[in-house]
Amino acid sequence: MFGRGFNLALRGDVITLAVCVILSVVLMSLPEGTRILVADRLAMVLTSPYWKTRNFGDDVLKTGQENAWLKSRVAELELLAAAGERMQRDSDRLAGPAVTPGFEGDLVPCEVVMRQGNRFATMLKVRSLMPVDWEPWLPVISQSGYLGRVKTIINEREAWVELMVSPDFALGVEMDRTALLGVLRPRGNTFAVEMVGRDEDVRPGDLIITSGIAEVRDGEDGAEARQLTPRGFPVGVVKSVSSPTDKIFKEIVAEPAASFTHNVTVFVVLPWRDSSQAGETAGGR
Amino acid sequence: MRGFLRTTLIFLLTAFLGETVVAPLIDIKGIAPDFSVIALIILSLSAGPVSGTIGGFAVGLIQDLTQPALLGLRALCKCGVGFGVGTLRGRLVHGVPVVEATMIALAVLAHDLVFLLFQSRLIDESFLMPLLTRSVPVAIYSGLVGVPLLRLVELLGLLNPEE
Repeated sequence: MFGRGFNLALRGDVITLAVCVILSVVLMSLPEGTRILVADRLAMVLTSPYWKTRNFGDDVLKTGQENAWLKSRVAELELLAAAGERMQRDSDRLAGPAVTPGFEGDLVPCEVVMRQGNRFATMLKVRSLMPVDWEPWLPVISQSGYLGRVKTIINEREAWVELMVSPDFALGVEMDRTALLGVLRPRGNTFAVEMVGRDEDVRPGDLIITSGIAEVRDGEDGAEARQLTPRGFPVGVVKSVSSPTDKIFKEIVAEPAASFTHNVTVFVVLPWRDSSQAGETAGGR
Repeated sequence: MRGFLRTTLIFLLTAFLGETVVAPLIDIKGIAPDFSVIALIILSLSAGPVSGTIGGFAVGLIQDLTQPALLGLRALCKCGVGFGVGTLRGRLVHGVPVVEATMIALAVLAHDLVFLLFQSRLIDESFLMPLLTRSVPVAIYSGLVGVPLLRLVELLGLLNPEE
């Protein structure tokens, strides 16, 4: 009985093996053209769905990064174009060339990986697509405007960014139309531009940009003071203006240009002098 | 039925993830374990020679699709390995790492021996050099990596030495 069962099992095994061997030999002995055709047809059924899915996934992942690079390039070009126009305007009102026209530097695209808000600060954790030689106070912008500045560096790829909605935030700003200077501070859900004289020309709808003046900080280890936030990043738009009779400054309410609640890609602005180093650390694009 | 499904799933996962994900990660100068053979041994030991033969043929055929000039060759080698290991499973000493590692290494070597023998005739490739410089290191590496995988499969209750 044992022998019969053993033989039956063995016969089944051998038949399976024989079938597989015959199939293999048939495939091997096909003419080369037919073999390639058969392989191609089989691949369409057996492996093509996997490769299609995998390539699609790769493309989707790469699209995110490519999109971030393209956005940074577009933002750079827009900022340079705005700086050119501003230089022209400064020249027309004889303010240049003592006043810098605006953005000069390098935008590093970063993805927002975390958001944290508390009563003292609202922070974003950002991850750069490449290693960055960054430092605290570097400005961070989105495509629509100024967002905040680098607060805490975690490593060469990650850092925490303090948003300008944080209660203690203050930023030197300028009215783009008139070149009037002021200081922008958060006020609840809106922003106020302070230190603008009551008789100055400010209208609702005026674009507010960074002035680059009120933020000159000492470099590390006693290095010379330098400007970290360049002039010209859009900060917001004047929403309402009033001149109370008992005050010497205007009360200007502004709406931010950038969204602080939904950001996928943001850009850290590296100073121009660091661009070559940034290129080295980043390995270029 | 459930055991068969689990065995098939482990076989597919080991072969697929091993070859596409793990092997590139633990690759040492181009030498990586042959996870398809390891998976085939797992299948043959747990499900027997019929499953081993069919599984080996299927995996070999899928691998052959990337090299149409050799269509059918890996399928032939692997169905032979699957049949051999499946037939020998009742005579092997289970639970001894040296035995298992040797079995895996020999299976890889046998597979490569047949493969290179046919390949050298079919497309005039050399035989001895690839066998010594590629197959032997891969066989040793596969033996080392395969033993923990077999232990894992045994822990999952898929290897039944009593059978």
